[in-house]
Amino acid sequence: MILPINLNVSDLLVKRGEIPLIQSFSVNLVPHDCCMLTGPNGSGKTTLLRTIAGLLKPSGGKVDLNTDSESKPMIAYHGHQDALTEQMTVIENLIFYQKLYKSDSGQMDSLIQKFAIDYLNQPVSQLSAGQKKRASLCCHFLTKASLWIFDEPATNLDQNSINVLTQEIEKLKDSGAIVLIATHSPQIYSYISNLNVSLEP
Amino acid sequence: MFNFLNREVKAIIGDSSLISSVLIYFIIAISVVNFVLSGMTSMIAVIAGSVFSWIILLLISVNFGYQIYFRDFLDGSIDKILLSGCSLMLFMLIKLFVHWVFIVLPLGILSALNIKILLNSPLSYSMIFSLAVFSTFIIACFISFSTLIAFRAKLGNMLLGIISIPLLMPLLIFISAVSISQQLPYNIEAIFRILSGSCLVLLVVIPFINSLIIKEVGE
Repeated sequence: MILPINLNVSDLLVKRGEIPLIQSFSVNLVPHDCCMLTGPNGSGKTTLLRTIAGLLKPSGGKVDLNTDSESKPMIAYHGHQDALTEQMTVIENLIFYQKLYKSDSGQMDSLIQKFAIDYLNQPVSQLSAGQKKRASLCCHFLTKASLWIFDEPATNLDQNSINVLTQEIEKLKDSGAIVLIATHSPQIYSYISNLNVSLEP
Repeated sequence: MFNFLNREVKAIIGDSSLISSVLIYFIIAISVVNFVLSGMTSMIAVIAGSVFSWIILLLISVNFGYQIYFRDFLDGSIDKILLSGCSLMLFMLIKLFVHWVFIVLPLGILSALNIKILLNSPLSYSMIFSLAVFSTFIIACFISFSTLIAFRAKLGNMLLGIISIPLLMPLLIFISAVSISQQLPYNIEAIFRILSGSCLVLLVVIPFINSLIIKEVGE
């Protein structure tokens, strides 16, 4: 069960050194919203997503996650890196995240089937970029978050995996989560996103 | 807790390049020490051997310790652990413990064995062994937070080097202990008490500081 939240970003300012990367950015998102973030390289998409996730401190403005419940809403962030331990096998990584997120093994098995991960016992260091990405997404979807942030999730994926990814994102959206996706391929998510924000460098 | 422990142990055992680099470095360094000690009188050799062994441990900790802490930043898993709501302090404590058990402590024991075999001095052997147990933990603690600060501040190894200067403290304590023990052996107990006390304090303080560094210092 996903905890419904509202995301309010107001007048956000993020600087790197003295250079402002994001200026006066505001957005309000409610449950079932899927926001697509586009823009050329260096426009600050990743910085914005990391700030909204709470991984970077803004220089100004506010990021609020409002909920009626007293429990703290969870955020799921999928960045450029795969977040897999190279020295461990795929299944060991999956079990680590399953325990970390306290999700059930049935959910993990279902995701393994969907993403067609038939290399469970291979060390991550021996996988191709696409295989790593699929395993990484599988780990990511084990979370039970209210706000889902994806930074170019379709990179290195084949068409079948992209279809599974968009289906999973659509499910999240339908279940009441807020989804934020940064991408250079807006056509992939155009049918699930209801908001498109374009950033300029 | 066991989830983190399991992950860290697998990661460090699976990192064959790290283990082999550390061992090669250690073997080369200890061979040079043994060569130098062979030309010394027994008293000076005990002190010099102990000091050299400490310097080797220090260098190994500085040169290889950072890899264990960088891994989570480089592969992005630190972001997921941060957002998962689990205890970051516990995570840092386990990282510290595994780094100490698998890298620093075995080399401390090997150094002690080397001195024992080379000099056949029961006093220096027992001293190095005991001090290795306590002081290598202090080294591991300092390495962990100086590495995190250096990484977060993006100032690289220069800052790491400067912040690691306190690592010399156990070395100085050790030199004093060796010198004093030649005349007043009971003073060693006081040194051990100081070291074990420091370890206990660091056991609480360092993971706390590390988790604050990760949470509070922006990129």
